Amino acid sequence: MKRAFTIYQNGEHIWRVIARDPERPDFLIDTNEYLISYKEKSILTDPGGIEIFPSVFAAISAAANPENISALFASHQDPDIISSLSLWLEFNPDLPCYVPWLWAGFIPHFGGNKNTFIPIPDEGMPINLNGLELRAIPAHYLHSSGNLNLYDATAKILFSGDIGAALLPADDTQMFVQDFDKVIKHAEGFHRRWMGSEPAKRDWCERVSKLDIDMMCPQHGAIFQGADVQRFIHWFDELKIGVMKKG
Amino acid sequence: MAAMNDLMRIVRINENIKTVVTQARRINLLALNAILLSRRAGKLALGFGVISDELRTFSKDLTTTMRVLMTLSYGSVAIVSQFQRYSHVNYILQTTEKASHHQLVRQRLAFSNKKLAELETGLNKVYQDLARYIDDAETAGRFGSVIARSLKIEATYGGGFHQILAQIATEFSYYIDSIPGILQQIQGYLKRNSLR
Repeated sequence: MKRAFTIYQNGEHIWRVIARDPERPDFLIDTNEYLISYKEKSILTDPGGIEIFPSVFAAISAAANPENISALFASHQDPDIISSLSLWLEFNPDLPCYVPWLWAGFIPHFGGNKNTFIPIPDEGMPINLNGLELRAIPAHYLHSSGNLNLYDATAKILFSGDIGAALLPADDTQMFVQDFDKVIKHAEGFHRRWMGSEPAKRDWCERVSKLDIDMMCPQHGAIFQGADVQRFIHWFDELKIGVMKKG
Repeated sequence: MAAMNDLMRIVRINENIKTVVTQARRINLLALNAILLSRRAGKLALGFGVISDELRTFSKDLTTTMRVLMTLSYGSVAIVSQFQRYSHVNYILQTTEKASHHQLVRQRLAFSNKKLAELETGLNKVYQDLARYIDDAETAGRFGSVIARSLKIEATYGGGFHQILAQIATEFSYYIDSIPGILQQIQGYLKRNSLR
């Protein structure tokens, strides 16, 4: 079963990560969900696939009241991101879901109706969480062609979706990156193959390097913090992407 | 209540369980303080100390029961979400069957119906287990109320400490007396209609 861990708290402003499911079947990729709470209301980022819904829901219930989730945020359209949507809507049919506008016609195949989706324009937009301003920021083509990150300037945390994702071995349960070089080895192949646009990557690195970030939280693998955030941005900036290994 | 879906019901049950756990934690802390205070008060508060220790045991037992309840209710999330998935599959199969009358679709529909019935039985079993543990907790709660009342009586023998001991005894009652109402609410959520 997954568990919720608090990674940031300042009064009623809390970031929790729902991470690491030791009972997850091998054929499913492990995912991190983030529950951002402010004054009793929460937004859940990339709620995950339909198979892991019971685990995510139970983990959230242990730490917070799921009735206080006021919105979902889907960084892009992949099934490991949002295929649990129909189950979340069974729980609360009025739950809105922020999605990149590009996928507003595709994600409904997982569930929802015309009132469910709040399309986010390419340039991103502010998202109000009960008085706390979060910002959806563009990360298109990294990897999805319509892709967004979520930045919390107050907590100085960037939810980076698939950027920074490392497919760590099952026995590697580190929550935060302990050894950058070790983790990045597990991230390299994924970033080379899945991140498709060199100009988009350059643009993202340029913009994100200017943000004040204490933690960079990917949807898979360990969280980067402190100096490792900038190390990652530099590493990514120099990485040749959109290439396949031959042979 | 009839319109409440099972996930919402589980959430409400969990939230109530969390409230009882919080009360149990408060009782435990208060009991610790009461034990220390009764030691300071000496012989006159000997009985108060013994009863406070009983309340500490009560709070620990209550917490254990609540943890079991929480595990059971988390387990039910998996059953409910599977049920919802099969319900969707069923709907799609029914629509397909109407359109195609294909034998294979009919077979799958029969299988899906069987699966739904199994899940419903499983969920009913979980709810019965939950109800049983709630009954146990209610019995324990009644016992706790009785001890808390005894504590009030003991406080009157506390000599120079009687006022502070009476205050503690009142606080115990306040926490313990809030528990039956919460447990009844959980029982209410457990009285559910069929999943279908």
